[in-house]
Amino acid sequence: MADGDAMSGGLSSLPVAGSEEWKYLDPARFLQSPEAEGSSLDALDPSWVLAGADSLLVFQDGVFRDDLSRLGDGVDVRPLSAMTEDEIRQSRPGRFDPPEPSLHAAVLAQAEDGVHVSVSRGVRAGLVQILEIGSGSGWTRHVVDASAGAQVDVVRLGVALPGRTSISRSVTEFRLGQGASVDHAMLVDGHVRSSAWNGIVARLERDASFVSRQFLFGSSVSRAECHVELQGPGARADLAGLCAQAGEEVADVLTVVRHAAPHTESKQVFQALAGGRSSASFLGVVQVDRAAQKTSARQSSRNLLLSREASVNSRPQLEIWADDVKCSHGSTTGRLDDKALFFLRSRGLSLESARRLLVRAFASELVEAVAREDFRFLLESRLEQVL
Amino acid sequence: MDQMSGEILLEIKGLRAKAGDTEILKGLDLVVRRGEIHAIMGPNGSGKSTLSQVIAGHPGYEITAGSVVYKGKDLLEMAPEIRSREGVFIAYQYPVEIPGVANNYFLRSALNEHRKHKGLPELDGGAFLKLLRERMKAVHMDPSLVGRSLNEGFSGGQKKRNEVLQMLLLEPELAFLDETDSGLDIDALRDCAEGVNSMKSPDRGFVVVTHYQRLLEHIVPDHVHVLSKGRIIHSGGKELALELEEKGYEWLTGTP
Repeated sequence: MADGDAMSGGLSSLPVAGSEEWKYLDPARFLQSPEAEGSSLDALDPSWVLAGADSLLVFQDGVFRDDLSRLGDGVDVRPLSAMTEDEIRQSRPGRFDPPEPSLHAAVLAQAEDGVHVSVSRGVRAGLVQILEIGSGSGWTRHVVDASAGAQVDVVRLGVALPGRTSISRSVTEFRLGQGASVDHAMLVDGHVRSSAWNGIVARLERDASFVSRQFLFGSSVSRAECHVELQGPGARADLAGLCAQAGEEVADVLTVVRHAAPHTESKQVFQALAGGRSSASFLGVVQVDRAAQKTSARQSSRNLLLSREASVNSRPQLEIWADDVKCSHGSTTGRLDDKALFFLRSRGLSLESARRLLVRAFASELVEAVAREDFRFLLESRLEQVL
Repeated sequence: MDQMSGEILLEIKGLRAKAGDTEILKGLDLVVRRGEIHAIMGPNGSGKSTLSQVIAGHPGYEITAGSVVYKGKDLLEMAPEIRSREGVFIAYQYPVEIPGVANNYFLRSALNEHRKHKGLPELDGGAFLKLLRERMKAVHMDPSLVGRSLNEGFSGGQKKRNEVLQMLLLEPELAFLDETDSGLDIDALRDCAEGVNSMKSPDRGFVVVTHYQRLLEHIVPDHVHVLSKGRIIHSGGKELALELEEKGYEWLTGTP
C-alpha cells in the first residue's frame, strides 16, 4: 500500500483540512516548496552539535551533507543515499503502513534521503544526532531499527536558518524488537518564516521501551505527529512534548497510541506555552484493543497562556475496547499564578523577572527531565530566545 | 522611653483598607521606630493579616483613607518590588509553593535585585552559595531543601524557616512577621525566633503579628498592641501580652 502511494507521489491519501486530525491547520501549508535562498552552508554553528554525539548526520533541505557529517563506530548508521535501492526497500517493506490520513505517505514518496540506523541484537549504541538545516524546501525520511535487546539514543534537531523561508518535512520510523530500548528527542528550532512537519511512527514488540521528547519552538507553523503501536505484551511508551511560542505561531500536536497487546503501558505529557497571538492544539488519541487487557494509559495536557490573544485547544480521545484497563487523562489550561507573581515581587523581583521565572518553571518540568545534559542546555538557551 | 528609641521608620495614620466591599482596616494608627520590636495581637478576623498584606502592597486590597510613611516616603505609592528593595520584608503566614522554581535560584535572584538597588555588585554562584549555607545553618534548615522547588513539599516548619532564611539574606530594615508561630512545633519556633533575634539592631524595626503569647517568650517585644475590628484599641509594654494570655481579649474588645 505504501508502495502504491509512493508511485503516485503519496498525494492520493492526503488528509483533509477541517477533519478531526486537522481541525486547526491546513495540511496544504506543508506542501509548498519555497526556493532555497542564499548559498549552501559551509560550516555548522557549534551550538547545533551535541557534545555527546557519536554520529552526526547533517542534511540541508533534505540533501545529505557528507562534508559536514561524521559516522561513529559500532553502529550501522548510513544515509539512504549511500544504500542500494534493494537495501532501502528491505529496510521498510510492509513494516509500516503509513498512518492515514496523514502526510506520511507523501513525505516517504518525496524524500530522497534520510538516515538508516540499524542496531544489532543486544548492542548498546551511543547517540546518533540527526541535524536538519532548513533554508528552503526539504523532505527526509529516517529509519531506526533496533533489534532485540538493542539500545540507541537518537536526537533530531531541526534548525531553520534565520532570514530564510523554509519548509521541512520529516518522517522517522522506529522499529523496536523484543526488549529493545530507544530514547528519541527532537527539537524544532524555528522562526517566523519557517514551517515544519514531523511525523514519527514507532512499533514496539514485547517488553520494548520507547521514550520520545518533542520540543517545538518558534516555527511559524509546526505540526508534530506521533503514532505508536504497542504490539507486544510489556511494551512501554513514554511520550512528552512542549511547544513554546510568543508571537503568531501555530503549533499542532497529534498523538495516536494504540495498545494492541495486554500489559502494555503508555504515558503522555504534553504542554504548551502560548503567548502573543499564537495558538497551540493537542489531539491525543488512545486506542485500546479488545485483546489489550491489563494495560495502563495515562495522558495529561497542561497549558499556560501568557496573553489574552493566545489560545490553546486540547482534546483527549479515548477509544477503549478492553474492560480491564487503567486509563486516565487530564487537561488544564491556565494563566500565570497571581499569588506566585505577587510573592516574587514582594521579595524584590520585577514583574518582568517574576513572569520569566514562572514561565521557566512551567517549561522546566519537561526540559529538566531531559537526561542528556548537552541537549538540555541547548533547549534552555533556545527557550530563553523564544520567550 | 521614646527618647531611647531611634528615628521613626514607619508611621501609619488613620489607615482604612477594604477587600472587595468589606472594610477590614478601619482607621489604624501605628508608629515603629528603628530598634523597636512591636507585637500586634488580636482575635481572628481583627485585620492582622490584612495589615501585613497592605504593607507588602498586595493588589487585592484597596486603600480608602489614611497614610503609610516609610523612611519619610509614601509607602503606598511604591510597587511591591520597590518596597522590598527599600527594606520592607513580610514573613508570610502561608508561604506560597512554586513548583519548578528552585529555592536557591529564587533566593539568589531576589538577593541580587536588592544588591543592584543598593548599587552593590551582584553575587556570583560561589559567593552566594557560601552565604546561603551560612544562613541556612542559622535557622537549622535542611541543606537538601536548597535546590528543591520553592516550598513544594516542605513541612510547615521548613516553610517558616525558609521565610526567616529569606529575611536573613535580604537583611530588611522593617520586618513584619505574620503569624510566624502558627503551626510550628517548639524546635521550629525556637529556630525562627533565634533567626529574628540575631537580626535585632538599633537600625531595624520589627512588627510581630501573632494570635498567641507563646512566640513573645522568644521574641521579646518593646510594645504590645491589641488589634480589634481593624483598629488598634489598646497598647502597652511586654506585660500586656501576658495579661492577654490570662484574660483573653474580651475585656478589651467588649465582645465574648
